[in-house]
Amino acid sequence: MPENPDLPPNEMPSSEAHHLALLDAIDQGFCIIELLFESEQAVDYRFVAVNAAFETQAGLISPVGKRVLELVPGLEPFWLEVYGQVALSGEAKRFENYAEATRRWYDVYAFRVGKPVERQVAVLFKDITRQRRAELALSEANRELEARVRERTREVEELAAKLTMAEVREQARLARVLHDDLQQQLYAAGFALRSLRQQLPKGDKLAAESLAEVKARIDDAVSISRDVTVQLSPPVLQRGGLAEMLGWLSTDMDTRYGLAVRVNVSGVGEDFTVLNEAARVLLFNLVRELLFNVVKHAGVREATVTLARVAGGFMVEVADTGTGFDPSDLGSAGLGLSGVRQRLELFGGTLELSAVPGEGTRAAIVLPTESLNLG
Amino acid sequence: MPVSGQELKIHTIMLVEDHPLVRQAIRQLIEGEPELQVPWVAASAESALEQLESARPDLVITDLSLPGMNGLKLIEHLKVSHSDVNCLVLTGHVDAFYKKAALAAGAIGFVTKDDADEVLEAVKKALNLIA
Repeated sequence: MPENPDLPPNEMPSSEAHHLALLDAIDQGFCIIELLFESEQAVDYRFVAVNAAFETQAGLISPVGKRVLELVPGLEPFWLEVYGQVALSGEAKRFENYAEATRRWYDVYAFRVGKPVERQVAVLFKDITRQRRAELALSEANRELEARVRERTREVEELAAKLTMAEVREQARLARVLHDDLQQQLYAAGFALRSLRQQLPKGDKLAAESLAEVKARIDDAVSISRDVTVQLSPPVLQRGGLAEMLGWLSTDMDTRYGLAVRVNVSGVGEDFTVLNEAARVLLFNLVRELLFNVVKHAGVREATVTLARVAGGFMVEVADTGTGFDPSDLGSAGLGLSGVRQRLELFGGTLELSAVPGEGTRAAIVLPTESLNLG
Repeated sequence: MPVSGQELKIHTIMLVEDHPLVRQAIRQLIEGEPELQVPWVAASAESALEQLESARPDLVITDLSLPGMNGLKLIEHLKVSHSDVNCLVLTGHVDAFYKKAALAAGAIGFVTKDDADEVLEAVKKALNLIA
């Protein structure tokens, strides 16, 4: 505010002196401007008074008596518009904005002063450029961090998928060794035993019994090898035909648990193949798990597995008309599906469970085409 | 068994089996029967088809798991190209699924490798030598 040290202090009302002292003491910039209009549109404004902090905050030197467009020719129209509205309406405004000319951000409170016809506005403002820059830097750092997290997550998912595939390949390899080598050796041994049995002297009961015992051990070994092969990687998984795989599951479920499974592949055709080995095994395990759930929970002895094409991929649905369940009662972990669901997500797939108590359960697995190298 | 003075009719078999030990063992098992011979063996379906361009076996015995074309596809192929030749599946797969699939493909019989006596019985049934 203008100082006049020649004016005796007792000639100014004490409240006004206090106000002036207060305005000069604050850190914020303060000014009173007079808006200049042409046809009710503010086209410029003149600085009438400023406080001590004005120059520091605004970056303008000795503005009193000058028009703003003299001092800042490139001032954005926004400033004239908003102060003009305050001057005309009397409605105070609080805002933050950036002034290109001074390259500063301001926190501004503008209110009309004096008589409306005087078109004067008081502006209380603070340079918040440093804060804004810090906020922007923080925001940028957050964005960068989020991008890094996304990238890292993607790397971890890729690694998990690779490990999953490595695990699947290893299981398939072991299953092949068991089926293609060990079991075949055992079959050959069984055939050789028959030949040996025929060469035994007639009546040699002891030798015959010993041979029978050896044959029984070979049979047991074959049985164990077959069970392990199916647990590791059923031979039907080696070829990739989805219809064949589901057909095998259907027969297996009927044989083991008396569950009649109807397989409907008319939506995709008999030759539909999933070439990605890990995805094929995942799908097999998931459908098998869902069919186990029918056996364990549904209280019915029938289920339907349907294969269908959907936009962007295909769907495998397992449905029954059994007791159903309240989905809010059982999380997917309760249905033995949590780990499989996670692996499904690695392939961009989804699992939707819908059930109504007393009306049955439907589980729909959707897998996108591009992640599966579908044939 | 042939009646004295009569010639024994020999039935010829083509064996399609990729594992060399099993192939040899099965061949020896079958040829242990006087009326059966195995003049042709193949380690793959493709080799079998090639040999069948000139060979005329009374029976083709095939495994299901073969390198390249599998046994089911071979049977389907033979149903079209050599409809007069019967196929017997001899496999390590015990699942009902495979038996169903083999018979649906056109196999005349299905037997697993577990029991040599059962294998011989299945071969003779396929050749109509026994009921």
